[in-house]
Amino acid sequence: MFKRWILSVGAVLAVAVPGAAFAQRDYPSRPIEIIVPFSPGGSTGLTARAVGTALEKHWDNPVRVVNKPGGNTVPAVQEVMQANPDGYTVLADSPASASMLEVVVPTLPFEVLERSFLGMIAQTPMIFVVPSNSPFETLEQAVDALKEDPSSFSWTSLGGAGAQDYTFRQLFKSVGVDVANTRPVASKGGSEAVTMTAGGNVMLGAGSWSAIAPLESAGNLRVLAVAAPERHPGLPDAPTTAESGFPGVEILFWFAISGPAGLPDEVVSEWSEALEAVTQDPELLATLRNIGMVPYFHAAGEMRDMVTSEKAVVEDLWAVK
Amino acid sequence: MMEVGFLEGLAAALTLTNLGYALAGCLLGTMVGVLPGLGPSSAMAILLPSAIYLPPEGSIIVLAAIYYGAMYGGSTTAILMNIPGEVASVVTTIDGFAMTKDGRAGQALAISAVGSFIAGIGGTVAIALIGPAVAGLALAFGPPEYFGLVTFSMIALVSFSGNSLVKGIAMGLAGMWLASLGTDPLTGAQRMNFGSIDLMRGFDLVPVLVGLFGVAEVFLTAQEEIKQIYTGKLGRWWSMLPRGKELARGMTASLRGTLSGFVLGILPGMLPALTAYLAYDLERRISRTPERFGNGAIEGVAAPEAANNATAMGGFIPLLSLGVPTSPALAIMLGALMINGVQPGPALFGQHALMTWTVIASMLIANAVLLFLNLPLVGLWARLSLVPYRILGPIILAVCLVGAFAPRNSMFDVWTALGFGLIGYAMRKGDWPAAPLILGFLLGPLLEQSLRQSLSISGGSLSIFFERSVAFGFLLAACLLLALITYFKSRSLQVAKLIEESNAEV
Repeated sequence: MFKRWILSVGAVLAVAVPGAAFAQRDYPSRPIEIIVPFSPGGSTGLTARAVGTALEKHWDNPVRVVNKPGGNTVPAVQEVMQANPDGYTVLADSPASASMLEVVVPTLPFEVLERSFLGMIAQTPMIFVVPSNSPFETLEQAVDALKEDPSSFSWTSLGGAGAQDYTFRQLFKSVGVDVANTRPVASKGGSEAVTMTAGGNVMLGAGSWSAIAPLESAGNLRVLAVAAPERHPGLPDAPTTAESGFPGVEILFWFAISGPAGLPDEVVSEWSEALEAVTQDPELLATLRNIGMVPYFHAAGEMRDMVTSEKAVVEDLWAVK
Repeated sequence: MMEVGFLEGLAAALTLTNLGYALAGCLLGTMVGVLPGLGPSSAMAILLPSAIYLPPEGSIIVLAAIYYGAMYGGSTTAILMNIPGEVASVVTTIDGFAMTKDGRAGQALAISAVGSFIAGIGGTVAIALIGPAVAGLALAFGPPEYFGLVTFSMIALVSFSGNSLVKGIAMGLAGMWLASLGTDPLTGAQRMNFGSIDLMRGFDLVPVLVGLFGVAEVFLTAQEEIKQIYTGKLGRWWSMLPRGKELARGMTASLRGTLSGFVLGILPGMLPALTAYLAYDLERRISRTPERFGNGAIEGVAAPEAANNATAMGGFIPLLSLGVPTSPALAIMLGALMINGVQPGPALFGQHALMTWTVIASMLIANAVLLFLNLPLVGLWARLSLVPYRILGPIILAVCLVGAFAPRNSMFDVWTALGFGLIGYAMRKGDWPAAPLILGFLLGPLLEQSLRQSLSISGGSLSIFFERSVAFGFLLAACLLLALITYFKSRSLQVAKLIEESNAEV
């Protein structure tokens, strides 16, 4: 019996651990670890796995994805920042662990921008939704209700700083409503916030495509607008915020790879080139589409400026001095 | 839709390849689940990458089978060694381990397999018949309804207090306090982290559980110089199967557990661990001989095991029809579906009908595989209670620490498990019950979150709990139950005894 157990475990492991052939080159020449600061089921974790698989094929070198959730991403980010700057321990980075982190945790044990950016791969916008029995048919109608009585206007917050709060704060600011006078309802995660919206517990909700798509197709949610410069491929009929009359209320929740400060130039350029190459990989593109991520490549060199200016917007929205 | 789907799905699930996936998943899941701390979500997270390599049905079938297997495996160590393999089996330790010390490990393991099987079959049939129709229930439950439900569940905490009500409530509060350390899940604010980066994450449930039960049990057994868990003789495996009156009791308890576990399992946030507690509490309350509970009552194993499995099954309804995961394990399942381009939703039963029904049919098969796999193994497992503890103990300790490390890949969690091992040891010496601490740890954050969210929705007014009828109903029921317990405790000796004699074991 036990022999058979071991055999079947071996069979499954053989499927799970593909070609461990090591190529002879300087970098990468041994397994790379991508650390995800969230739990395995979320979109950062899923994107990291898909990208990891594509990179493994590209480099013919093992790439492992390790989830280290909790503590607002700080423990995981700290671990990567303190790792040996050799390019074998990198971070699945996103605004949550970069531009928005300092607003949530003011006393960070590291400087947010003191990291090596290795390249951006994909993004997903926030989408404004209401329960299907809501009186709001457009974002404008929702904003009218907001202006009329901000204090009873309830919306889905993810607490400190997240894509949801960023988008809502932009919206409130653009129409001259102080966020402190509104009624945020905090929840632990995007999926929970969207479920709460579909149940009619808040007046306006926001979520990523992967969280809203099932409930939208079930007829429990109505999409008002996509907070992005362009329409979302999964929702071709939904207007953008600009089309709805609210230009500038936009967020691209990006996915990127970062490493500790002081990574050698060869490693940085190897990553940037590899990430650019895999964004042409049809398999990766299909997986990204399935989980609602939109390909969004930006080379390592461009990232620092992008994150720096995003961080300035965040500090302005949260009125950090 | 139903007629077209299910039989075709069954036929598709019965292909040799898919059967192979179900078998492999069940074996892996059981093996991982047997290891303390390594529960369904760890096992599934480890194997999630394989979802990219296997065909869509295959990956879902493997993951679902791992899920059931791990749920089942978790109860094996709970029964044999008083160490719950995962949190849903905590309550199984009470009567399960009592049965093992009594030489009835086989009966306990068998009824746990049968109970899980009944729940699995009942759950699958219910998903197939009423699945999409009841999915909306998950949305009807907003924060105020959860607050009502959690408050009601707190009553279970009171009745799990063991010999002293005061000690039980104190432990429950301690559990809630421990769960509140670290990052506030709603606002990201830091609570009592004393400047420590590790404490920012807070304590994870798994290392606390593994420490209080697993590590403490090893320390205690070593100190008491227990040579082996059961010193008598065990028969062949078929002689260990429950029969007659015992079997009938176990079966009816399984049916009740299935029903309550399934109905509660449809609600998001409803953890298998919680329904297992509630099912156990229900059995003890309706039993004519509540004094048997804690001393090896077969219902005390059958009902929670059926309930936690039924909850696990019930969770598939909101998952498949609304894309709403009700547990960390199901969130991973959702991820696997999405990676494969399967978008949950009502369309799942239309566009991907064959695949959906194949997956549902494979749940049936996985449950059958688990039963036929595990009944003959009952004898083998039961013999573990005869292994000298000087060999078994160190193995258990090592596995516990691996289990503590796995969910968050963190050394801090290993130290946490060792620390809670010492605390658990001291608690056992002082007769402080551990079950209320775990319950408090589970319920505290739910209670806090639902209360805060409800008050945000209402703008700070408590009236929301009176306006929402379901929430009000639960709160009213909680008050009534509390009043009844207090009334009977002062008036009736028998009920007083019921509360006191609950679980001196834990």
